[in-house]
Amino acid sequence: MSKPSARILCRPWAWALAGLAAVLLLLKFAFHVDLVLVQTKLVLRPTALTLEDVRDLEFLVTAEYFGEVIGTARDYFSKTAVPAAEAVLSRLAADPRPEDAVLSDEDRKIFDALRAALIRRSRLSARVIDTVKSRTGVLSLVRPEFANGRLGDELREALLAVLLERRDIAYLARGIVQAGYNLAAVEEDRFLRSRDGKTVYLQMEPTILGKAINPWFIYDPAANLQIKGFEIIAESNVDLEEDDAFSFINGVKEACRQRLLEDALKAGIEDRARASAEQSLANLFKMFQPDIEAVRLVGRGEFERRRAEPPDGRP
Amino acid sequence: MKARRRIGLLGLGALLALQAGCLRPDPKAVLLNRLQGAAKLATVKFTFNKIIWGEKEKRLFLKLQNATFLALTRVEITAGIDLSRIKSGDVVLDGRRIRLKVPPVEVVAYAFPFEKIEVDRNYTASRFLNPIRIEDVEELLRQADADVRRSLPFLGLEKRTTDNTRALLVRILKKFGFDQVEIEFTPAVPLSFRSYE
Repeated sequence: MSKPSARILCRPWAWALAGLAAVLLLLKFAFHVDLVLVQTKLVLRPTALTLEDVRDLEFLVTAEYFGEVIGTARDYFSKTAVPAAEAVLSRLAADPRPEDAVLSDEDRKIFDALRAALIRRSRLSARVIDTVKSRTGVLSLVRPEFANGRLGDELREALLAVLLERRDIAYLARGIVQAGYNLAAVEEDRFLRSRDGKTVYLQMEPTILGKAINPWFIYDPAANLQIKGFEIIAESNVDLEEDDAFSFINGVKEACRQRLLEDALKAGIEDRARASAEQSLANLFKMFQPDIEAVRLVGRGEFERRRAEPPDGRP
Repeated sequence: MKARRRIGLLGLGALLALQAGCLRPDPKAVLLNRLQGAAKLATVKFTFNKIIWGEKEKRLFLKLQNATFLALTRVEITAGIDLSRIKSGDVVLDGRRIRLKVPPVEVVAYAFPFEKIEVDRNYTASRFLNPIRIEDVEELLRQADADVRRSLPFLGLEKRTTDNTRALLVRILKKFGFDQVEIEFTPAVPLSFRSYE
């Protein structure tokens, strides 16, 4: 009993540990109790899909853009909260009695954020804290940086910092933009053939037919290809219990979608839609009427000019 | 000895270069920020409702009470045909009669719009030590999206899409002066959305 290993056996905690291990083993193997100590699982309960609506379409999709963008709460606040703050300030500045002006809940919230921005920027100056208690005080502090209904850059940044400190999220988003033509909108008389009959002119303008960022961008388990549509890059203080949490999240997602659309337009999706439509319609028409060689999709101005041309080609 | 080492190094370099050349491109890099032409005729749009009922199970030594998430979502599925797959051999002309063989109907666009998700706040609840977080919501939405995509072949969209596409093509072809139009569809394959193809 003089060996150290034998001495451990004399300690009560060793017996307690051995007892606990025996109980756990008994639970595991005799009673099949799951002994995982920390585990989180998300389960989607099965629900059916119910058909709500069926609508007839006549869309010709002729160009598709697949893109990846980043959308942030900063984008969202820049497009919503900052203009809202500017609108509230304009209203109060124009009001002879700003203290008595009635503000909506949203307006009040944004005005309070502006107060917080002023205090934060002053590094908790007692004078500023005292001044911003009244609306008139806020207006007097803001006046040098508020011209033509626009906040100055510094104050704008201070306001954004306050809002982002409250909650922030950034998404990496991947989606698709489709452009083409709505054939249902093409009227009967918007169709013209050239004098030699080889070219068909159609008055049609390309349009954006869809822009979608889905939970999955690609979901193809068979090809082992699964790419998320929305992926959270960073998040802080997003509390789903707050009333406006989902409208905030949707606002950031909308910022992603707008950016995706801008990228698609910059990449020339409308030009590609026109060129692609001309090519595929020409190929198709040639099969039915071999004398057709080309199809041109033109705007109203060019179409009217072509239609006004005399049959013999002379002006 | 030195020469052998040099040959060994050269061999290793060549092997690495070969390996680099054989690396498969990252699918994300291939698929994204890409503009492509298409010729898809969309003839019908189906809107489905789906309830997302999710639970977050958590065990922290003991099983905690489940947190729940409930939302009504909408899924928009646009279907039609890919006109670019019609080849000249698919068209048979006989005077004012035309016989056209068209590709099978397919999903042209698929949307699970986030702005149409209505969260039911009465039944969406975090529990003690088991909150519903935004990452959980995104994961549940992905599970629901996957569920819808798996259901696509069983939703019976083909019949209505085929009828609409046939009606539209007949109307267009009659404008070209054909008085008898026969449209034949290539047998349908299970519907799925593979926009990137």
